[in-house]
Amino acid sequence: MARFMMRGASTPRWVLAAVLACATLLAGLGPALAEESGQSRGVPIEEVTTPGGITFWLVSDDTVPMIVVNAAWQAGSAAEPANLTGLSQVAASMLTEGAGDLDANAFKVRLEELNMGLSFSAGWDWTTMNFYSLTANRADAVELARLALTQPRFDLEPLQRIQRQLVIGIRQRETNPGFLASLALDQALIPDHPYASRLTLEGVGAITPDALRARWRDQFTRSSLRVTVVGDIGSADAAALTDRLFGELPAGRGAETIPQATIGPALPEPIVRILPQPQSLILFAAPGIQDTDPDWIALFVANHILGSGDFTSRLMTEVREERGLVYGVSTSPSVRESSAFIRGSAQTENSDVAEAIATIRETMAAFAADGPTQAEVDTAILYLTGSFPLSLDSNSGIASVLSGYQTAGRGADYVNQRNALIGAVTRDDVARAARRFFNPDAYTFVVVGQPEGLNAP
Amino acid sequence: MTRGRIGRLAAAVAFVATLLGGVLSISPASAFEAPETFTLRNGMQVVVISDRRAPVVTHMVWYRVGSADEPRGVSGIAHFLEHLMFKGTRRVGAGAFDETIARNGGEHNAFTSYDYTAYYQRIARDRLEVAMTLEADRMRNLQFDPAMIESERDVIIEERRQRTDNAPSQVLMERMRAMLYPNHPYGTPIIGWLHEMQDLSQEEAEAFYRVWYAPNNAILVVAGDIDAEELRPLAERIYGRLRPTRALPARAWVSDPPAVGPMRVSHADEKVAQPSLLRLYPALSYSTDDGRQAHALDVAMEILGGGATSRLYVALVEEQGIAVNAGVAADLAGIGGGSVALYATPADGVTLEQLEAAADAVIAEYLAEGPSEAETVRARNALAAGAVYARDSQETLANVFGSSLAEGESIEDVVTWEASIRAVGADEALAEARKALDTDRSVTGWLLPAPAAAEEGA
Repeated sequence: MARFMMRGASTPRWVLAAVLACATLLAGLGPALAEESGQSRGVPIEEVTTPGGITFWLVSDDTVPMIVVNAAWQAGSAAEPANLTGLSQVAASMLTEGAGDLDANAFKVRLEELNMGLSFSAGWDWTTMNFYSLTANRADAVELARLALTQPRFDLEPLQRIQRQLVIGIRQRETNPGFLASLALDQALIPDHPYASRLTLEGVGAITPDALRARWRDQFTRSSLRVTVVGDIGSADAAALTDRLFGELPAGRGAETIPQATIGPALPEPIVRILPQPQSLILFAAPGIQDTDPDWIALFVANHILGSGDFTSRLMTEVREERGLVYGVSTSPSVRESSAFIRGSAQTENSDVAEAIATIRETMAAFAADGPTQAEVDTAILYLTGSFPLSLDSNSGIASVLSGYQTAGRGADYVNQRNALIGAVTRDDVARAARRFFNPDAYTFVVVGQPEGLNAP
Repeated sequence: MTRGRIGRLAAAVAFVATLLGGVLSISPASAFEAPETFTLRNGMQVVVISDRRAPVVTHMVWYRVGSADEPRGVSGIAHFLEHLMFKGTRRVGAGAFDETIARNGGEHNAFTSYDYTAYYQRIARDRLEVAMTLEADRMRNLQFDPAMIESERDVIIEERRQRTDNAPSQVLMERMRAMLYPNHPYGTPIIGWLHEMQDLSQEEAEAFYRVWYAPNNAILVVAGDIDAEELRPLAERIYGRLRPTRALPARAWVSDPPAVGPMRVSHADEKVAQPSLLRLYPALSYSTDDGRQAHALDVAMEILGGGATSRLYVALVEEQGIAVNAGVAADLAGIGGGSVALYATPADGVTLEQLEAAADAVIAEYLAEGPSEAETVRARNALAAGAVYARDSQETLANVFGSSLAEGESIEDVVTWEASIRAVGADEALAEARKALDTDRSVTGWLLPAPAAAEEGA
């Protein structure tokens, strides 16, 4: 069971590189600390090419006798046929439902016997693998993962079980406020794009072992593969492991791509979806930019100031701290390979929805008009750079950050340059980003619940 | 499932499994070394867990007080106080706590359980003193501002709506716990009953604070790039001068009357698109057992419902195909005892009657024949492996040691947990399963669609 986690949303942990924060102690709260946080150790990352020709990122550290291997293939749900929705995700799930001589149950028993973790998952643009193993079992664990990747069985029995589960999932989502709200936004803003599609009963029911086999051959190929290895392993062993895991995959035809989404104009009034519950969910979205855009870092800092969800952010201050309207409110840039949004969310009592939306819009408008204060920019930079090592204090954390950079197309040295990029952002940069991205008129709002005081269209 | 407490290693295992995104299993290596520990003169216990991989620390203060210590009629006051702890002291104005941690690159939060309340910061090693200074200051010097009381009460009410009132499964769980614990404080939700939350006052929060928030009722846990030799002078200077509460009250909780046979409850709501089955059994815990009974029960429940190779999952989901998920979650943390939760969601066209009967048949067979040796070995290894993977995260280790100590266990109990799990025999597991899975003490809940929706859904 999870702990009873009260207060506050968690902070996104995907920025960051080397440390250079300034201490700011309050007067009377003890001695002032050094201006700079001293140990800027950086991440000892190596880019290695295997004898088989696969390039991967490696961070070696033998503190804990385990390794993590994250892999990603640029092939996902967005490119699958409209009459076979879920094909990529089911194909990914089926890799751990039997391979070689092992049927589904025998495969899972073997996973347990080997102390290892192995899972595959398909998103819109990327399919990912997460593998971890204790050093003592590493060789056997790699063999089992290789079997899953290269000799999946696609047996009918586990396929039918997964289909039964998806059917129930499709029913349950009909009263899930998050699902209803994001679907309404996508249908309003990118109605004809693959990202606006969802699983259908017909599509799930039409999936066959043959279709899965064909999808698997296109989905798991060397040409769009990214690999990160972290933990108790040296460079030569990591290269051998990478070749063993992925060397037998077909070359493939490169990354799967789909057309860029064209985002429609903002709707002036909120879209309302009625759902019987005491509190409404509010989602809102506007066009954003790709993380390759020159303004990306400025947007990143601007978003932190407005809507990080931290208690220092403007939206939390105005909507939660000043008015007590919500438990949490936040915004964040949302980037996929073929779309870029800025998205936000809040939840509030049905009778307060109109006031919450008005407060969000006003807070945004003030930020867009006047930009940040210098103190806000300074604090944001101190936080964003200073908290960098927090996401890099474990093997699984390092692997997760690095695979995120790999799929974003960053170089191996980016993790050690990112803080300098953030530190160079000026107040003018942030003001420009605020003007460009936080004009409230660019945002479409969706409300799911039983909101009062809105003009439902 | 309701959000309960993080329970010791078993929960840490689940936590790490979630982080790593997959299945967990065996570990041949021994998991933990004992962390260093010492006690300040004012009674504050200190635990130091060294991990030098990154120049960061996790700094936590655990108070031995939670929602179970609330006076009757003011449910939610422990959690409300947790929120108010961020609202400033004489020296640190409103908002300055968040601002200071942010400007030092730190992350921070807090959480409340039945048994404890904990506050933490994750921050660069050379900023540890900032976090310690702020945390020590608010242990004794919190200021209560009437205007902030009002708006923060609205925030916790929105929090309750978000977590509970919007979620029919949580509403059902809340009522099932109230039936499982008809008199014991564990039957009252941590976040509080809505009508009592609306009347929570500054005086009640302040009284709770004055009694319980004191160094002699707190445990300091620091994990990361530090050792006891480095921490001791800081801890003595910053926390050591805080005044203890004299005559700290005993934590005396009222107990439940004997069970009167199986209890049942159903809850229907328009938002329920798919029925589901939930059953709770009261159980012993790592705090209340002696020897390794809780270890044996964890092993037994892992075999019955711990994952995709467990008896319930294989029988109901894979072989019979009448459920889309099924399993058991054992929450064996708790000064006042633990609980076991059985859950299942039927496949299309299957009724809850059919599903419950099938689940009962699996349990009956399990309790009659007991686990096989192979199942026992696999379950032991699955649980024990989590201890090794837990070492990958200083935050996880800080949580494990902090929660265990806050619930009255010793450091040795945590360090030897893995060895004790490995020592559990199939016969011990079966004996504990038979004691825990006593239908006469259980509460069974059915979550149902509203009547109109039910017809079209069936």
